[in-house]
Amino acid sequence: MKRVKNCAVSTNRINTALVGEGRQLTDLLAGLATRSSLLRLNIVAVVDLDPGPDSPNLDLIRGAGIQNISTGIDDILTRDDLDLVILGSENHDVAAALRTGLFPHIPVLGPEANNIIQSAIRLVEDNRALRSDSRRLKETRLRLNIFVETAPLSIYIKDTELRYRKINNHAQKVLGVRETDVVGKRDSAVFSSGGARWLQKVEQETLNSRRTLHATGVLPIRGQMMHVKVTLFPVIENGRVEGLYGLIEDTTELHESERMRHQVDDQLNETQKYLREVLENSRDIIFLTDPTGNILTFNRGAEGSLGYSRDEVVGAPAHQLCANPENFDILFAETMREGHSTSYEAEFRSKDQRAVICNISLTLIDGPDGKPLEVVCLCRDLTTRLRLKNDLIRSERLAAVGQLASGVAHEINNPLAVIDTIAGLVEETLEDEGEALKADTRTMLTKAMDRLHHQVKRVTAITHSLLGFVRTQHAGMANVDIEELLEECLGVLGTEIRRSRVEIVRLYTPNLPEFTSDPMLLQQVFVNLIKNSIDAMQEVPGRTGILEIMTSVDARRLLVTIQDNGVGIPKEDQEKIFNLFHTTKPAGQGTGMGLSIVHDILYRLGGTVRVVSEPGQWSRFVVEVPLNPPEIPLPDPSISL
Amino acid sequence: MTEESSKPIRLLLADDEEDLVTFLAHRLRKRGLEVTMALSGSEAVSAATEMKFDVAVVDLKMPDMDGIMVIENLKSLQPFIEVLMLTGHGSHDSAWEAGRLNAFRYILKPYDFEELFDLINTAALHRQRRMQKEFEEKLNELMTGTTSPRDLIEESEKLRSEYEQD
Repeated sequence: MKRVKNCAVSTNRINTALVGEGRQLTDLLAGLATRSSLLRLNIVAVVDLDPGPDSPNLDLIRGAGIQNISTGIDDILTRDDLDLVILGSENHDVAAALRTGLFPHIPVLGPEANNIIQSAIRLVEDNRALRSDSRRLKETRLRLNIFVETAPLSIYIKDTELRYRKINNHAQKVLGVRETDVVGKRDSAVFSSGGARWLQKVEQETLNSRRTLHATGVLPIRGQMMHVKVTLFPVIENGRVEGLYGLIEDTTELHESERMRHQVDDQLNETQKYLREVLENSRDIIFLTDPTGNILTFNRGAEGSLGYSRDEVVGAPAHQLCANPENFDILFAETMREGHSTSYEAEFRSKDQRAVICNISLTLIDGPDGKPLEVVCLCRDLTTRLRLKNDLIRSERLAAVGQLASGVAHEINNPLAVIDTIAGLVEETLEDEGEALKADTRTMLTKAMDRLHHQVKRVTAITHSLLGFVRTQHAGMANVDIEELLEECLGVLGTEIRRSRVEIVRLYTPNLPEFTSDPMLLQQVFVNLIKNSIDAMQEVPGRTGILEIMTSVDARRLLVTIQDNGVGIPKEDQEKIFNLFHTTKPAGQGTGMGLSIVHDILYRLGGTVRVVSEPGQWSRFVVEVPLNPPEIPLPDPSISL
Repeated sequence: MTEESSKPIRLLLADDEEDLVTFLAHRLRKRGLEVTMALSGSEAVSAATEMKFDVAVVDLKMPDMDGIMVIENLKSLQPFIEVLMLTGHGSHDSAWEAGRLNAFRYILKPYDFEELFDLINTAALHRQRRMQKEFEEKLNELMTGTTSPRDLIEESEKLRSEYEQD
């Protein structure tokens, strides 16, 4: 038997030997070895009385620092450093042997001791864990208190009676109180105003509902209204509500800026609304398109000028409104590139195919993201202005011509009268005394005199037309029955109508109201127009001339339409035909003054004349005369002598 | 020809355009008229103080005297004279003025010679009838208003000599 000396035995540890059989020893080891230090057990030896497959793993035992491993109890009987032997086996022989062999005071614990030791270890472990938790809790509480005291937040604690238990530095400053003055008191005892009732209500609700609640409101602090946001946490300990934490955030600035923002928003909305109304009700054509050129909005001015309703055009490409879509596209591309377009005169086509001349300018609007949002198309309808301008120019021109005519006509007419008189004299002399001449000389001279007369007549026609301007003064206003007046005109032109075999189609609207105008001037208008139409129909040989005369009336105007199936007017001439001396008739047949006079007379009567024509097919003149004459007499371009 | 064959029409032709007066007078004389020429308003008026005319053709615009004033003077000198106003101007106002002064017609230059000739004859005839009518009326007045036969003979002789000068 070999005695094992253990030199490195620590005096404050219990040197323990474990004795058992196979499996039992393994269990024992597993239970003790890992936690042996807790019980100050120092396992110094292991005896396996029945080694087998279930025996403890030798490497494991060595790994746990146990040096003495044997299979017989003899090895431990000789040791003098053992404090305790734990017996894993029920084998009484072994127990008896140990009791007799060992030093008599060494306690030997049976297998039951294992359970006791396990329980003890658990108790110790639990105790230690509890001690550790408690320490951590204390630390947390301390840190929390520091946080509460130093945080830039207003924090207070109240009990279930809503008495202050604590109020942090920040809250003391904000609320203007000292902790010593408030602890143990309710708001009613602290604030002269009794505190905010809404806050007390929410605090009570927090206690009752045991839930975290949020509220916003106003606190009267030192005479100022402080907007606050309050968060209330219930304090629950052991299932009982012990009080509450209150967290107050000063939101006055936030609230103020919010209020300002609302105010600005309101103003912005107001401005936007105003602008929208201005745009909407503008008499100019204003519409918006998206960056691809499709119409987004269409204002009332656009509806009025172009005749389309909003629903008809929204979503459609804007260039479709233009007479030359490619021009609009160029302008649009320029806008997308430069941000705006140069102002440009463009022609739109109204729904009824009228040309609407506009000054158009486009502006690109970027969205908040900096990307193109929409394009504003602003178009001023120039049609009316251009027409008025043209009317004025024509009238001014006529005024000048009137003056010229009166001055020049006399000068021309006098020598003309002399020429014609002399021509007549020569003619008479040829007749009376021509026998002395050679026959062919006489014939030639007779023919020459005839042509001379003819040419004089031609000049006379011009000078007398010129004098027509002078004659077109107001002869006097009277009640006019348009049907009667038109019949008079047809009567005046009876010979020419019969000679040209023109068929007259009368489309008179019955019972038209009488109106006040100048019948002499109106007669001149219609005689000129009908004569013009007859001439136009004469220029188409082989076609039976049909002249339609139509009358109608609306609220303010009387309309007379004179339509012929004559030669028509080339598109490029339709604007010019009212210009003075513009004529398409063969030389000597037209003076280019008739339609000028028509235009001039109607201008002065407050009316208008328009022409529509299909070249080679027909022409239609529309005369509009106001039912009530203009109150302010328009300038009279002719002069009185 | 509507004029009485025995007595040629006495015409006063006044225009500042000498060529016109010369050649028009020549043509009218060829047609049997007795034409006196005047190249200004004052010439016309002075001619009217020297002899009686049936018809005057007067240019409305002459440098020395307004045509309308010429008509006034002629009418005051010879109440029965018929005046044809001749002008290169066309103006309703002047035409209306011509009507007011009892001018027979208003003719725009350049005129149609035949038309002018017809108008002169018509005017002369018109004058004749007007004078005839007035003479008969005056005579009638005399007959009913005068009691003594000697007075009647005296007055009718006076009236006859007055009208027969024309």
